[in-house]
Amino acid sequence: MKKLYLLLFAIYFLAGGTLAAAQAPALRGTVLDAEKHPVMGANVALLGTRYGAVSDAAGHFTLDAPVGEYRLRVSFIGFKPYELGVRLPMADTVTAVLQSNSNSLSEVTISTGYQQIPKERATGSFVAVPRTLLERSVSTDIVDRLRDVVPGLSFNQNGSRLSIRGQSTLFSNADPLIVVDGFPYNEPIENLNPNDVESISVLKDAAAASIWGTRAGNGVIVITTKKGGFNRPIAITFNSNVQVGERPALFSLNRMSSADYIGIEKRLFSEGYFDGTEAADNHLPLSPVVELLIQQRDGGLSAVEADKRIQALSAIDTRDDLLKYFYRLSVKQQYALSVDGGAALNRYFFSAGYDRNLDNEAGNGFNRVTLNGSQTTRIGGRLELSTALNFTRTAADKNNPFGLTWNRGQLLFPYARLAGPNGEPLAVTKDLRQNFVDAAPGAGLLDWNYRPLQDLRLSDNQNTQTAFRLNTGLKYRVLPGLNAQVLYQYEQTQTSGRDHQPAESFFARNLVNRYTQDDGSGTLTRTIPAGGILDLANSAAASHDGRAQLDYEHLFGTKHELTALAGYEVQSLNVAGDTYRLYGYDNVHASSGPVDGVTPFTYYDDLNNSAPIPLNQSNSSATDHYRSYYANAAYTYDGRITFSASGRLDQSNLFGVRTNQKGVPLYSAGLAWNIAKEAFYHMAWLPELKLRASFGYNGNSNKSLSAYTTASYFDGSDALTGLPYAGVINPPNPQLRWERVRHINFGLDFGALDGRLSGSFEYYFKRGIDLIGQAGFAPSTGITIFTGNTATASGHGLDLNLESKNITGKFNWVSNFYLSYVTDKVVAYNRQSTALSYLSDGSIGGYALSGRPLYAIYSYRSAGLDPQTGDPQGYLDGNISKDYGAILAAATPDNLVYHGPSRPPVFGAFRNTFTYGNWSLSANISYKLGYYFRRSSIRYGSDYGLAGQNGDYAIHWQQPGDEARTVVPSLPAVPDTQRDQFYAYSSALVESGSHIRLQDIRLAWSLPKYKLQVYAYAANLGILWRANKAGLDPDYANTYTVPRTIAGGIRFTY
Amino acid sequence: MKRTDKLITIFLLPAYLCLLLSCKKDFLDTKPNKALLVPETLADLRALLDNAQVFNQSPALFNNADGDTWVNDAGFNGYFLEQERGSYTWAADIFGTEAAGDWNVPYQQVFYANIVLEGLDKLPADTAGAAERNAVRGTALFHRAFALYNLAQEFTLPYNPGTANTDPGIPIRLNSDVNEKVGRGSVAGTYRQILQDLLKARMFLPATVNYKTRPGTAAAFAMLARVYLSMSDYGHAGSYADSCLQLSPALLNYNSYSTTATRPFPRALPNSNNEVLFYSTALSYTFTGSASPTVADSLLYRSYADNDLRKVLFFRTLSPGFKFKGNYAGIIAYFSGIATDEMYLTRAECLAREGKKDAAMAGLNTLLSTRWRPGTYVPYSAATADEALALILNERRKELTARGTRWADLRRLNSDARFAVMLTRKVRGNTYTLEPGSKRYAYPIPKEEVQLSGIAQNER
Repeated sequence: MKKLYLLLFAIYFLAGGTLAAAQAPALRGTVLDAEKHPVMGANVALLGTRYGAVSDAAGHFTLDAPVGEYRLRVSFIGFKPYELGVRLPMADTVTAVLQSNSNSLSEVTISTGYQQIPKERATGSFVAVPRTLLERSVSTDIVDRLRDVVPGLSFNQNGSRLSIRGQSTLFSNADPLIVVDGFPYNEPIENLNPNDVESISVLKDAAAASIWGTRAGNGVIVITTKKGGFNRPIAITFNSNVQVGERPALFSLNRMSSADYIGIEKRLFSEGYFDGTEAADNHLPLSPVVELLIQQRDGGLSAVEADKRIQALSAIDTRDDLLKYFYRLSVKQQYALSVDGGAALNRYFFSAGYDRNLDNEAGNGFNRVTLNGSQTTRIGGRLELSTALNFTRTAADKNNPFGLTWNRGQLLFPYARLAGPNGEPLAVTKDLRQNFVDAAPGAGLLDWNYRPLQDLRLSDNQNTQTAFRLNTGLKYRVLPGLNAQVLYQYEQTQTSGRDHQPAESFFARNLVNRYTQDDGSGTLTRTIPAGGILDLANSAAASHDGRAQLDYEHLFGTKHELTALAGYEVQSLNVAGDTYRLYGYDNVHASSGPVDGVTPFTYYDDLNNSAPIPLNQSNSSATDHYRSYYANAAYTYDGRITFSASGRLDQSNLFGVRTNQKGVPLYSAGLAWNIAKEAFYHMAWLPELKLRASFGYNGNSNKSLSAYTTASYFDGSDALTGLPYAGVINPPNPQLRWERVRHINFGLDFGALDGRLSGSFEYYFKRGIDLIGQAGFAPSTGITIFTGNTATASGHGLDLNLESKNITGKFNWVSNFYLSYVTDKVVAYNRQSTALSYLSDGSIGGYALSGRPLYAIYSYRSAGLDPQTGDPQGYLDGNISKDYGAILAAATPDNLVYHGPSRPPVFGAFRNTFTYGNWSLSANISYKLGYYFRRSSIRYGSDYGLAGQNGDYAIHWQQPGDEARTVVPSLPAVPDTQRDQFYAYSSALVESGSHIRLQDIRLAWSLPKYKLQVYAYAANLGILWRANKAGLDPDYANTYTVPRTIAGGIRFTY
Repeated sequence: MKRTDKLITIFLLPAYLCLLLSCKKDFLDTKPNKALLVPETLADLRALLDNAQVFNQSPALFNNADGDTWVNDAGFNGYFLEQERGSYTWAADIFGTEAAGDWNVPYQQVFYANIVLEGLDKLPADTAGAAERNAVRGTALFHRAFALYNLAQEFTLPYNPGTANTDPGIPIRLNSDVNEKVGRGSVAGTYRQILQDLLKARMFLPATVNYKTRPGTAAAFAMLARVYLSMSDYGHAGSYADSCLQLSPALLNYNSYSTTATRPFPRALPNSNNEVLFYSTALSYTFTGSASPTVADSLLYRSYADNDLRKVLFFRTLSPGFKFKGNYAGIIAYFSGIATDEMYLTRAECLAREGKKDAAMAGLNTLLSTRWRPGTYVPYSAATADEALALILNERRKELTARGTRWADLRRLNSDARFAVMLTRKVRGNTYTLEPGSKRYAYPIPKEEVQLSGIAQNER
């Protein structure tokens, strides 16, 4: 509290003090921009003195200083500084015309979210992504547009969506922090309309990221939205595009054919596999083929007829119906309109956007409305007030069931027919035997058939989200060079899910039937009223962010420039949610009926089982509090050498930790040396050369852990006792420490050949200290997995970024190339887990092993198939063996085969842009090299792989000689889960992931005169080269690849 | 300046308020999630003990290894887990690399119990909640003993007074520090700890409980009887069984229940089945599933007389035989807790072993008269104490089938040549046997445990 008073006091005092000093001026002047509009708020200073002024609304300034010779400097953000030698007093007025710096590459500024840094003075590792590059691709989501354009930033197939310079954490939050207009963004990123984004800065190392403290361990993505500009005429911009995507390639999935599936069913039937199910009194389902086989066995059907019918079934592939009725072309439309401009005293930006997406999955879609308004007003020459209001409403339809299942979650048998010849929904066996289902209506129950297509058409499930964000900022110029500002943001997101399953849906009918009670004489009573079921889920998130900051900028003499800022920040985020369900719901009248949610009712379909009617009631509330103090400063000598330092203390409401452990101090330091500006520098061919180095620590908080034993109450109460109960989440961990990442970065920026070739090269070292990871614990401790500070990892890597203007003139050819190399290695770990943990989860992280990357692929060494039996063979004590139990038992993390990392250590992209007159064509080729993946294959289990339906069944070993053409083992003589496990994790199934991909192509035609552009954009075009021989897309090895899309659009500004 | 002042005041206000809020002392002490707790109040500790999904479950693999069940090859092949097949055939290695619920779950109970006991020690002295505090302490001690006893039945050799001091026991953890290294100790040490916990629990537990998931005094006596019986200490076992029955003698009258019902007995929770002293259910495996053709041993099934209601209340037809349904839990999971019928049988057995054949027979008849159709039960009588003992042991197997007690009975009775049993199985054309006194009466320690804690493996 005291601090705040002091701050306010300082502002008032200093403000009053300087005003009183105003006297007859020795220098008058006007600041104008290139279009001769007055520039207000420009900083006017006599270099090396304390004398300075600020231009007013008309661009005028007056300045008083003793007689003498000075150098006048006029500067303003977004413009190149203007300098002039003056002798005071001066009779003439000075007219300073500021040139916009937006066209100058070397004058790019980077937003850290707290301040703008000219790239020239940056000591750390930043990537600024300009609007032109963001507008190159077409997507609903802004982050997607960073794909394959930012060195060091990779999109992952497993774990967090994005990572910057590899992963710095095992188990804690691994997502980069996303900052929008100076505050961490708490909404889903889809809420932000890409058309409203002006620029993005990616902060990769400690220098900038320590500004963001404990949330910046994974890097920071700073998004700045459009704001309009002072003294700019009104401009209206419209952008619209339509993107169409192919249907997913379902047939590229490695699935068992209907004929193979039926073959296995016949075999299992003859072995008595289905006898138990057939005899079971809970009406477990049997597939149509097994039902036919039973009929044939019992004499109800002749062998010829049964064969004929089975033959007909084996000709069906459910995927035909799926593609026809459950999938479609995706269509994504985007419309965006904005108005911006500004006068001398204010600037504004208003925008409206509408997006409408129809997904590949029929019944699924997304639409979004965004409305934004922001304006900045200057009051009295010293005060600047800015306000912004952002509103987003999204609605997502989720009506597609994705995979169809039967028999309690198994993949649906592949010969199900979903629709009749006229598209009418057909019934498919689901969780109950067909004879039981058929008898239901006669017994007085509702129709119990499952018709997936009918459900798709009936489904009414929508998630809507309404969010608004209010920003206010007040900036007060206390002295020339000293600003005080207070920022406040309020953000509120209301999410509501409404899933209405109408009375005719299987879900509703099934529940009503299941809970129907039979008194023993066939008299039925319903405990759930017939009708629809409505599930509602609401959550509300509200956050307050406040910040008070002092900025200082001063040039001492002509060569010593200091910028500094210090501030204090608080954040509070609360998310509260609840869910509930209505039965007997009538959507026309919004009426519903009560149910007894306490008494356990026997299931009609399974007399062994009973449960109370699920009420789906829950309530939750979570709160995050942060309090931070931060400061940073940069000193530049003669525009040549910059030294920077930053420090930050973050505190949060960590649970179960003593107060003094709730915070962690983090700091960084950096140095930049503009060698090209040195007197001794004479390399004319390399006119731009700058060296950078930074060092510092980032943090990562993990709020799920605690030094004390923590527990959590479960929702509601125990179903059987009705008592509330709690479970332990964390064992006590008195040694718990904060996770930290030390980052050392060396960079070199250069420009050569008259700006034809430019780029940067960076090399860095990272060390993750006290990383929180999992370790297997002896189960006798009461836990099997321990989460704590288990590892230290060190890594290093490089980012190379090149831009080459190969041909300039009427025909232009620009190439952009980047290469990122990132590698990491665990150097210390506290606990080793079992071999199986590394085999099954090593590729998705979580388990550390000394000397290996955090994400790695391991396997049992395969010795191929036994030529006589087709059994998979491994090694035991160096000899070929089929004793799977012994092989598995002998496996230790150290004697497993280590293939390599599961995330690419080398990746990058190569983009070429050709322009000729009004035409522009660009194509982006991306590559990922040096990593591995495990492809899925058949697990025979106890049903010859029936339930899993893996297509490798078709190529399994059947007779001696087959081992030359296949790695898929023969059918097991008896079920052998150890044999399955050995094969599933054997080296025979590990493939190299290296590949090169044609990511996208863009063609545009522009009329600069009318600021008009018409463009076409095609994405996900396919793989150009891959290392694996299996023809798999390593990024989508066990699913279908992302469908190709093509988009067309128009953009113009009036 | 005036106007500016006003503006500053107006626009700084929200931020100012926000900063003000954050300066409140508890800003950093706000709970991140309302559901969270550091277990430190009596109510929190009770909530942990009321977690029935942790505490009221017991190991069950041996239920399918005790000779009371039989499965055909198709059913055997249909078991999901290798450990189910390994257990059924008494294989040398049972768990492979699979997670072992039978080992992990009881140790989770020990861990929770230790957290509760430590929490109790840290509670400020407060006489108001003394009764509840005692009840919580007694419950935690009881659960720890119950877990250790269950582990000992599966993972150590049977208690043999001659070798108990050298036979390896199971790791005993008495605090919640997961980093503590604990060795196996001895069988004698293991039983000493179990008895110590139970004797203390008996002092703290309340006489009556309103939920069968919570133990009361009678449950503590019953558990003491069970432990002493497994140590073949019949004097103590008999007297604790008697103490238990003095408090809680109720028996169900089987004539009250529908013989055609899928689940004939009332649901035990929260407080229904009068015979149930402490509620626990067997961990679920494929073989307990209602569709698995794992059925009662045909000789066992045929040993029930036609007028014996247990024949119809305990079993239903399921190809290829008769499957157990007489589950005291009243839900799908098998009951594996303690009920008074077991105490009647234990007391009777101990009386017979003392030579008090008539008293023994009287107790047995009290029990069995509730199990037969009205008017059909002819009370047993025995000419000698040995005859009484044989009768009682035979009825014990029939009454307690599928309760998880048979395995412990086999282990102790095998040392007596009169009652020793050789178990035989035929699966996929191979014959497997389990000889009396075999080292395979102690399951192998799961591989994960041996690897991560370095304790010694059982010889098989």
